[in-house]
Amino acid sequence: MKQEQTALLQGTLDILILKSLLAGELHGLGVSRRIHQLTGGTFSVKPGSLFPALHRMEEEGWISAFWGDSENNRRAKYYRLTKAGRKQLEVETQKWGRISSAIARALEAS
Amino acid sequence: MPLLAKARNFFRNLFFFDGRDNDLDQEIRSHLEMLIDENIRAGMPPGEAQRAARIELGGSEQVKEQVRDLRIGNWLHSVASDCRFGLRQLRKNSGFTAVAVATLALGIGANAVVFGVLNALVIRPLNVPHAESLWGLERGSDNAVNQSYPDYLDLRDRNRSFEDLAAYNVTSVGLDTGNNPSSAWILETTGNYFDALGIQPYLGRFFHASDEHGPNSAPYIVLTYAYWHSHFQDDRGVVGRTVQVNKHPFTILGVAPPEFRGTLLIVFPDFWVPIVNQEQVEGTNVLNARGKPRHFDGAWTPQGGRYSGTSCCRSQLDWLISGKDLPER
Repeated sequence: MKQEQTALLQGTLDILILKSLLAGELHGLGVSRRIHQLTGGTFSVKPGSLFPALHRMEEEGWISAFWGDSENNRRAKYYRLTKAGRKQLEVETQKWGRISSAIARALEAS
Repeated sequence: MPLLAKARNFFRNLFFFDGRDNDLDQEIRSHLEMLIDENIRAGMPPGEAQRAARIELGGSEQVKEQVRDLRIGNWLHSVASDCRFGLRQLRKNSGFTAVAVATLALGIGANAVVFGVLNALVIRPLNVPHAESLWGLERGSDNAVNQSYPDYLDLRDRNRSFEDLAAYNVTSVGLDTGNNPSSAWILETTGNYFDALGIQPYLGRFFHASDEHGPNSAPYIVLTYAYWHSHFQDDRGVVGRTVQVNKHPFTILGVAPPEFRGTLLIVFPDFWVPIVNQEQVEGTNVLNARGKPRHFDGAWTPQGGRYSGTSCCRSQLDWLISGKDLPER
């Protein structure tokens, strides 16, 4: 079954990355696969968007990076949420809630 | 982002760029390898698995560049890289470099000349006290700035509008200080010139109206500071020394202050001599030559026919007027 892929909305990549790391640390590919899984295959993040976002968020202090071994014993760079990252996820979640309910209301209006 | 974290990232990106870049390189490579592993696990043959992984990655260099682009302080690093690249190119294309350097040199030189003129005209105009109350006097009828000496004397004696009235004329002479004769630009001025301008000598004294006692009575020289510096090596014993101006002995009275370089706009004279010695300086006596009858459109209007001289105008003098009042029109 082929899922329909949708372009990511501006600003939604951060929230998806933060959310995907909430359960535990992941490397880049893991983040990508987790987002794919979390969104039921609707969003698939390409490395060209993923890595800039990861590095930017690391500079922001929302996530921290460290080198570890992957499930296949390859060295991989892992990311985990920081305290600031958890807070940021809350902020973004609230924001997204407002946006989505507002859009939904607007579309339901007759 | 807190300022401290921002600063830390900035310095980390700037000074540990190579380390950061190696890190990024490894991360992308391990990402690619994990993609290949994934594809092989999904049952792809190794060649196909690699191809598919590369397609998904979409060009590791592009990804790395995208990451670098958003780092804090990246612009500074790229400026440095551009500079290094530029220098390498300059070294490689020496012909182009020579032309570019020559072009720049000419451009800068031309600008320096323009600035020199601007400096003389606008930025450092006449450097005397109360320059705002100095007026140049022109004849109204034909816009000529030059007047004859007898006309000057008439105007000076009948002047009631200005404190003083001085005249000068620019010419070039041969100066012999004893070893190497050279030509020099000078101003022949009336005796009251320095007093009318209200300036004080840097060294020795100026000549005054009281030094003038008829034609060739005041064989004196006042040097500009620049000429004293370049031709007399700042020798303070120069005062009282006798030199030859066009083979006539003249005595050096003093040196003008450094900031005063004469009353002409672009030509800076080398020294001043009293205009009563004009015959010695120029070889012919034109001081008594009268200009055409004229109407003066300035401070003072002579009666018609007051000037009844001939048409000889060889002694053409620039006027300089010093005074506190604007002329009434």
